[in-house]
Formats: sequence, structure tokens, C-alpha cells
Amino acid sequence: MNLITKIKEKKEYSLAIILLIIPLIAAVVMMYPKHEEFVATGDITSVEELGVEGSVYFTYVHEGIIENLYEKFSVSLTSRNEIEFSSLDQHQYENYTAYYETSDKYKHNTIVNAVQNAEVKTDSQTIKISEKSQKIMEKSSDYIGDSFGLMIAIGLIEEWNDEDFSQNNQYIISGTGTIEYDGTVGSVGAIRHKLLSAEMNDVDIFFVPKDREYYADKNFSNQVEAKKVVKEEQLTVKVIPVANLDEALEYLRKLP
Amino acid sequence: MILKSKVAGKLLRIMLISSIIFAVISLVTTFLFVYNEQLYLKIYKFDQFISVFYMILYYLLIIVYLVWLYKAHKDLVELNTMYPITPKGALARVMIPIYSLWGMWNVYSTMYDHFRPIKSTEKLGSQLKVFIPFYYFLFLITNGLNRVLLKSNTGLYEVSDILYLVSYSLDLILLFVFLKMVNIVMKALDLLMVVKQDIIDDTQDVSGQPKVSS
Repeated sequence: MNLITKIKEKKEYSLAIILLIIPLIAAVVMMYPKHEEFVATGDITSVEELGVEGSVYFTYVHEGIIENLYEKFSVSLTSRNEIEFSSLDQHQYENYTAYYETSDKYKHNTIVNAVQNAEVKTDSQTIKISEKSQKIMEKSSDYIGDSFGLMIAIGLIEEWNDEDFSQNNQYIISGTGTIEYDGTVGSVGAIRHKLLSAEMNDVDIFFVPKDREYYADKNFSNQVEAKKVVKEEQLTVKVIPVANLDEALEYLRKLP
Repeated sequence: MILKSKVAGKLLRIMLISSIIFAVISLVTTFLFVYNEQLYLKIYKFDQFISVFYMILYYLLIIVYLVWLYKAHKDLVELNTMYPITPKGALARVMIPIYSLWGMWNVYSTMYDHFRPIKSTEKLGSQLKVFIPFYYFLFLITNGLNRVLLKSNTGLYEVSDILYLVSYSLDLILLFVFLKMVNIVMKALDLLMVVKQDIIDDTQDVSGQPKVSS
């Protein structure tokens, strides 16, 4: 008697095959390639967590890419906050993948730039740039991306000049933006969710890159997007666009 | 007389064996996740596939289990009209939260009480009694652990990766224990049916008419 006849005769085998086909189909469907970007609100973290003795915070969001329905389902299930997905075409997907693969390089650059920019604004002669950069790099291993550059630089200036911009915790100061070798603050992604994260954490002052002039369509700039989000969501956080580190320091030193 | 739970029981056995196979694969992939991340990243997609398959299989297993439990109790009541748990009562005992803390134990301890006094099922009853505490406590522990792991995934708190390994190992042991219990109950039902058939045969003459004592 061949196997098929045996299966036909045994009802339980036919039923088992039908039942086992269900998870098989589900698994195939869930594994079907689907490329999307996701972003969800995150939190604010003190620069102290990165080994910088400052009072300011940087804001992070949960973001990444999903490659199939299963990953989308897992990300949605494990995210505590509202999550936003947007489709990626093949070209965008390849760009994102390439970015995530080389994100450590960008992170290293912004950290070195932050340390160097902070170092020239302090009188201390004993700063070892590469040692400090290495220490921050190690402590930031849980974070991807380079958008905390500006806040690291501000924190380092507090540490080395013995300043306290929070004025004994009177202000909660956070922000986002990369920092370039010349102190310019560079544009970043996920401004909307970073602002919402800041609002959730009662941030008083939030720095964003003053980048309006670099965009043909101004709506794509962090500066315009931040303004729009504050208005739409009626946020209480005070958004301060800064073009470079000096502008941020000037603002902080003039705080009442 | 034919046992109503026969097909459901055999189906449950196939589903349990399939689940054990997938639980073993999941345990291996989890071991790699904990101890050899580089290798795990190479089989990451395969692990995703197994996870989805295993998750759906698990829910189907629950449905088949409930069908079997219902039919097994139908058989038990039919074999002994004095059997204290009705099919619906059995489902209520394992499905209603809080009540199931008592009910899950009670369903099998009642079976044990029923198998023990009958000579042919006495041994099976004793075997079932040995497995009940393992099944009960493993079920509670794995459920608790899975809840902890699910919450840790949402970032509420961090847990050691070893805990995943412990959870999958206990899941596997629970499936083995449960397979043994299902086999015991199915064998016992077969034997009880033989006993019942013998009683019917003893009370009927060759023509199928009830025997009349003089």
C-alpha cells in the first residue's frame, strides 16, 4: 500500500497535513519581502550616560527598516509607543541598508568633531581628544546614528569649563543635530518623533539644526518641519534653531 | 462502541510530535543566538520562518487539544455514567482564568482517580499521577516566563539572553510531558472500552439479546 493511499485511509493524517499547511502558508506570507522604514518616539538621555559630565540631554527615537511582514509584526508588537511605517522603494532600501552598515563611521566622525569643537572653546591644556572620543564611542554602542553630536559638544563644554547650562536643573535642555569639523550643526532625520519624545519628557529647550537655507523645498528642512510639528501638536517645548555650536552656547549663556 | 476521541487523539499526537520537532529547532537557533551571534545572523531568516511556523502551530495545537479534551471526556462519561466531569466542564476547567489554576490539575487527577481502581488501567493511572505535577508546574513556569520575555521585548526591562534558552528548553520538556500524558489517557480509554465491551458481552447472549438469569 503506498503512502498516499495510507494517508487517505487515515483521517488523522489528512487532517494533520491540512493543519500543518496553515502555518506553512502563514510563514511563507510573513517572510515575503516587504521593505519599509519605521520610526517611533523614544526618550531623552543625559550625556552623562556617554561619559560626559554635562547637564544636557540628547533625544533618540526608535527607527530602522523592516524586510518582511514578520519583522513589521514584531516591531509593532514590541514597540511601546505609536509607530509609523513608510514604504521604501528598492533604491531607498539600498541607501538605508548602506547607511546602517556604515553608521558607525558617521557616529565616530560626529563624536570626534564634538570633542575637537569643544576643546577649542576651553582653556584646559590636558585634554586628550582621541582618548575622550574613544571613550564616548564605547559608551554610545547602544545608539545608532550621529544626531547627538551637538549635544555631546555642549556637554563637553560644560564638563571642561565647569559650567551648568541647566542652572541647577532649572531647565531641561535637549536637542538634535550632527556637528561638523567647523562647528556647523547638520540636519538629521525623524525630527517629528524626536520633538514628541522631548515633549513627553518635559524638555524646556530643544535645539534643532538651522538648515532652512540649504533646502530647495524648505519643507524638507529640520527647521521648518520642527516649526510645523510644534504648531500641529501644540507642543510646549521651546524649539531653538541653531546654525552652529556658537549660536547654541550664546543662547544658553544668556538664559535668565 | 467506537471511541469518539480516537481521531482527535491521534491528530493531537501528530501535532505534538510536529511541535516537538519545531521546539528542538527553535532551541538550537536560540542557543546560537545566545552563544554564537555571528552564526545566528547567517540563519536569521530561517529562524524567523521557524518562529512564525511554530507560533501558528502552537495555536492550532491548543485548538486540537481542546477538541480532544472535549471528546475524551465525552468518552469517559459514556464509558462510566458516574464520571464526575462533563465535556463542557473539562473545557471550563482549563479555559477559565484563575479557575484553571485548580481546574488544570483537577481534570487529570480525576482521570487518575478513575483509572486507579480498575485493574487494567491501574498502572496507567499511576503513570499519569507521576506526570501531573510536572505538567502543571511546567505549564505555569513556561507561561510566566513567556510573559516576562514578551514584556522585556517591549523594553519595559532587560532580561538575560539565557532566559530565552531556559524558556525554550522548558517548552520542549513540557511538550514531551504532555505527549506522554496524552498517550497514557488514550491507552487508558482503549482499555476502558475493552472492559466496557466485555461487560456488554457478558450481559448479552449470542443473539445480542439481554441474558436472563433463572
